[in-house]
Amino acid sequence: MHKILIVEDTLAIREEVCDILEMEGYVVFQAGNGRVGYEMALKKSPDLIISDILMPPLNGFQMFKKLQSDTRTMSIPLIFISAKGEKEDIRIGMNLGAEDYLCKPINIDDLVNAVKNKIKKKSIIDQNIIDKTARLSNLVENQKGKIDTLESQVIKLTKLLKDL
Amino acid sequence: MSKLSYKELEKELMELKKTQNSSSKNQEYKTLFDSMPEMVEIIELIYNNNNEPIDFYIRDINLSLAKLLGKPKEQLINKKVSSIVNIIEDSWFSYFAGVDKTGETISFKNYGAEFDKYYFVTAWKISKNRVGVSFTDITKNETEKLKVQKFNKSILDNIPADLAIFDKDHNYLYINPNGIRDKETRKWMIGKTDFDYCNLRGIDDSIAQRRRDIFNKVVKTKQQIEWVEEYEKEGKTVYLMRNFYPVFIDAVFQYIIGYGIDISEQKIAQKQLKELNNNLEEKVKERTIELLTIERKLRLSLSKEIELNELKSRFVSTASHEFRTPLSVIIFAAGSIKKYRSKMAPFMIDAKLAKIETQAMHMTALIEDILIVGQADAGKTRNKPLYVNLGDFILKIIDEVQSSSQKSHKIELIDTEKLKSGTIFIDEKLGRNIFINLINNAVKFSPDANKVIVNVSSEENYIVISITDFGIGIPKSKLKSIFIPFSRGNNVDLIQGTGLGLSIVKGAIDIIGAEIEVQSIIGKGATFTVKIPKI
Repeated sequence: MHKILIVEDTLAIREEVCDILEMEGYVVFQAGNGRVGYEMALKKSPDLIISDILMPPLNGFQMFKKLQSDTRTMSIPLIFISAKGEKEDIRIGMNLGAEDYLCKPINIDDLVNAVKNKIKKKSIIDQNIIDKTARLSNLVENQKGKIDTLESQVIKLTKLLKDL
Repeated sequence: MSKLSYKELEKELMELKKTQNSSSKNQEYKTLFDSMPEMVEIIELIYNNNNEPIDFYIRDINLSLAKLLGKPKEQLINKKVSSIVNIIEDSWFSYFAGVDKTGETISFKNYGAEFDKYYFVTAWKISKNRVGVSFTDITKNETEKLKVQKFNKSILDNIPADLAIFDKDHNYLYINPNGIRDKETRKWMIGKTDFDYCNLRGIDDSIAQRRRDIFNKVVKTKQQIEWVEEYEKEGKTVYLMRNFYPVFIDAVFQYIIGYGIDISEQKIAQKQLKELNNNLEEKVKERTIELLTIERKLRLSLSKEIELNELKSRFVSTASHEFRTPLSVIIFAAGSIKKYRSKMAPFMIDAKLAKIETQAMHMTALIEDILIVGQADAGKTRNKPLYVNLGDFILKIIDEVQSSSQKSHKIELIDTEKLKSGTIFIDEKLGRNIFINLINNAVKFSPDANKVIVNVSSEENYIVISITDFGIGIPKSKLKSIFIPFSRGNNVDLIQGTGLGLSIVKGAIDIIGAEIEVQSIIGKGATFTVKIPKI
């Protein structure tokens, strides 16, 4: 079950996004501003964050910067949803490293598809990491056996030398 | 041959005559005497009873002189000169008598009208009454000299400046016609001073004094001085550039030349130019000030225009942003119902439909508010005040608020001055905009209270209506911006609003010429006081 954090100061929108994501089968956490959102991200380690931008006291950009400078949260993908739809606003958001930038009002399918894609991408990356880790640990195990064999041979040789 | 040699010659001749011992030598001298190119004679002066010379005999004469007189020697010797020539100047007698008297040899230049010639003359005493005289014709030289002098004088006379030559004591030696036009006066001036001239003309001698001072300075320093002399003449100011300069001959200071050039025209032109320049500068200054004023006005109107434009674009972008929120909610809610209806419980669908309705209504309110603000901003709202009953006016608004808020609050009207039955001079539509928003806000922002007070009172020129609530209050930092469109306090949380209510209030207040004040303590409530002019 994938976890999604929604950070949005307008209650009505937050509720609707929450309802939609739950209908899609995600576990959803809610935060009313950037500060709460950041704390929630640390606590819940969500697979994806959906965040508004204009939210006092900590806005979406500021929260995202904070998340990216923290090793515990830097790999969580984020989608901005904002009523600010100017090209410049979108560029600022994307330049910060966001996965996507959706302009309000947003079509449900667009939202759901974006969320699915990002989660899928995250899963693939996570899976890759898991596979790589498994392969590496296998390799390490293997090497360890070899080293053990070599070590016992060295000990044997040393013994033989002493006996000579 | 020098003059002295003649004299010696003559002496020798006399000696010879006395001794008469050698007639051949005598003959030699006679030949020499006659062949000399110079004209020589020996005269014997004739005096009258007063011992004044009146004539003379020619006792001897050489050929050169006889030739000039046009007669053979024999017809001249022992003749009175008066019987030979028609004109003989007195000066000749005085020169010769002088020599006879003093015994001194003299040389001089003289003019003889008889033959219209100039002579260089040497005269020496031979014995009592007897004088030897030699003449050299220098007419040619002298006429040349005279010509040069005449030429020089004509230059001085015609030079287009007044010119004078002074001796060391500042007496006039010469003055040209430009200096003094009248010939007689000009003649009279010779040997006189500027003071004399001033006396003659009966004019103030300060100019003469000034010239004297400068003259003395030139004499003292031996340096040329130039200055501008200014005086009134026939009602006009005359400017003369004057100059005194010392003249040296063989390094000895001899006299001073003074000249003056009339520079009045230049001076006047200069003055006019200066005035013109001043005028021009003055005009330029004026123009610059005008330009600056215009520029300032332009800048002001430009900055106002820019401000207005910025306000407009900010308003448009904020308004569009304000629309996006309810639209998002509507689209999400409607989309959810459409997509997940089968999974949804009926109450959930109802809740979403209610939400859609609320948001649509909010948008309608937003549009209405924007229209009001827009009209006020565009200056389209006209103030058409009428006398209306104050009680009717305010109670109608209170009723409206109460019915829309489902009587959540008691709205109390305090009227200690009993003004309710009186009138208020107000545009009803604008007045309604003011008080419906203020009373609505009072109710809306005091969710935990149950009372709002509307107080009606009067001042000399105003009807004063204040609305007090006991709600969340306005943060101090927000007090300044409450009238700006879409500005909302950060403590409004979930209280719905367009952020335009107080903008509408302020717009209406400005149009009807009223005043508004706000007092608030956060967490305790707020009081808005509106002062409406009585007339």
